[in-house]
Amino acid sequence: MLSIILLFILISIIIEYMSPYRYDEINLDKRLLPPSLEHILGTDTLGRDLFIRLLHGLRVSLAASLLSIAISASLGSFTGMVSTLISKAFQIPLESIFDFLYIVPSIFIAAVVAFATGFGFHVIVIAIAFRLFPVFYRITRTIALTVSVQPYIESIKAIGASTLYILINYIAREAMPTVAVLSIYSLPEALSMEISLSFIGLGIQPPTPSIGNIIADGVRYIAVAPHIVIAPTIAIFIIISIVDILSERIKKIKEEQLLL
Amino acid sequence: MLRDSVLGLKATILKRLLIYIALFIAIVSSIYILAMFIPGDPITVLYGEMAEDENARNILVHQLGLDRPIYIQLLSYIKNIFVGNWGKSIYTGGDVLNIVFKSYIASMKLVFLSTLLIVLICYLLLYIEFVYGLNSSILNIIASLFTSIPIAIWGSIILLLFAQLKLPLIFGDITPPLLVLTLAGLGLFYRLFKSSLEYVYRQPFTLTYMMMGFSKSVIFLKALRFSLPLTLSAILYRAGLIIAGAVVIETMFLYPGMGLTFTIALSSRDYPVLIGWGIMVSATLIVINLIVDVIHAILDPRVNIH
Repeated sequence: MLSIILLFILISIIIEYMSPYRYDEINLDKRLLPPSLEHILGTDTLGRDLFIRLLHGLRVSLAASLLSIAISASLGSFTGMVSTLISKAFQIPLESIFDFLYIVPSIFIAAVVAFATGFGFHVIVIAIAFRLFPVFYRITRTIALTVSVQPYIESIKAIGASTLYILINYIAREAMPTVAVLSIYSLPEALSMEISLSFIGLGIQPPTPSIGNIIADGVRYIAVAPHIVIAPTIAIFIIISIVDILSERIKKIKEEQLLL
Repeated sequence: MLRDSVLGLKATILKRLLIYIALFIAIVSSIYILAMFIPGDPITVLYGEMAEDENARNILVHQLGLDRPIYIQLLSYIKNIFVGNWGKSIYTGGDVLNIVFKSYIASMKLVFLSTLLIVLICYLLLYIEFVYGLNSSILNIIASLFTSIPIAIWGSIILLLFAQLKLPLIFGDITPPLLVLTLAGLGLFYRLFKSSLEYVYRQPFTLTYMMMGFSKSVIFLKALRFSLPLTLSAILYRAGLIIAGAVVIETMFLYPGMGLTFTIALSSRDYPVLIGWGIMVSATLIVINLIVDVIHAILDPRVNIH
């Protein structure tokens, strides 16, 4: 299943380089054309080829979501594991920072980041990472706490293993499957946030396309050119279905492992 | 004994309340300090050409209190938040509290109606499933797909439907955003309610009820009572999510709720409204957290929130 997504990305890159159009090539004579042989998915409000824009936009959106999941998963699981080692005095400020991140809406964080550093790709990555960071932190912390009181950890300690050794070889290894599953589960949420932020203009800026951009562009012309909105909607639908099937399958594998 | 536990409950609620008030003040201060990082000088924004002269500028800075130390400014700002003086919108000149409050009411209407619809539909489906024993896996697959579809995609599906049916989109019409939010929440709530009900049905007391000869619908109602704390807290968290997160849907269908206010303030760089929006949403989420804690303590005697 994952290979299907990778294949999809590879094909989209190849098609984009083979195609006669570019994603930011404006042709005002051919505005809002419906799908035809020349333009497979039609053209948008400025006469740009929608198929190429969609492929490029999908890549941008997926890249933003995957990058932010990678950042929050690695940082979140790291702090989650380390937080079990440090003393109570540091624990309280850390907890209140995560409470803070839970309560302040991520769209507001995105707005502040955008005003302070300029609009663009990084705003989306930071906003999604802030949203997912506490989730990974909480999960890894719970796992680390349950693993560290197991008897076998105690015997390894008695043999003379260092804290770092236990952290890397036992606790991190126990936490890894859960973090991996959680990363796949958070892909729909990350994509959803990317679409929302780009839609209201906080995220990826034109002429670079992203799914949210294309939809925001098409909404204004929904009555005359519905194909602009239909194409990204179907594309996201397909991706979400693939991710959904993937996570269902992983869930099933995990359940079977538990039974054995 | 009972009196003791009630007193204990009151003490814990008071403790949580104090923690949340501290958190609220921390959030307001950090929003205020974050807003200072935003480029642009308030004097130039407010007075423009008038403030070019050095002397006039100094007088204005003094009048606005911008020459005072930052903690004094912050304290007076927090005081103003509590007395209801939230400043004026740069863009329209209206009172920020008024603007935010109006859209807040509109958003609450959306929250209330969509949650009501979702709960009704979910319980109807679950009643049919549990009482008449129609357990289909197709419904599960649909529910899990419904959960993962981004809300913006739901919005564009409904928008396409409206465009194809040639229905007009009226400013402030509640139907389209209500439809989208209901559809988007349906899958998640169905799965949540179902798993909590399944948990109840696995408990020994359900078996006892069955052996006592209660009818299936009575057992269903008893199971509902048992899963009430979870249901209520899920609904409350959803209210917070809609108030903060329906931005795309409200912008798409031009519904004058919190989301549209945010987008308009964002595009016109209306910082006072943005800050007011952030404070209102944070306050709502804090109150929701508090209510969830209290509900759990009252409805589920096993929970100890000390």
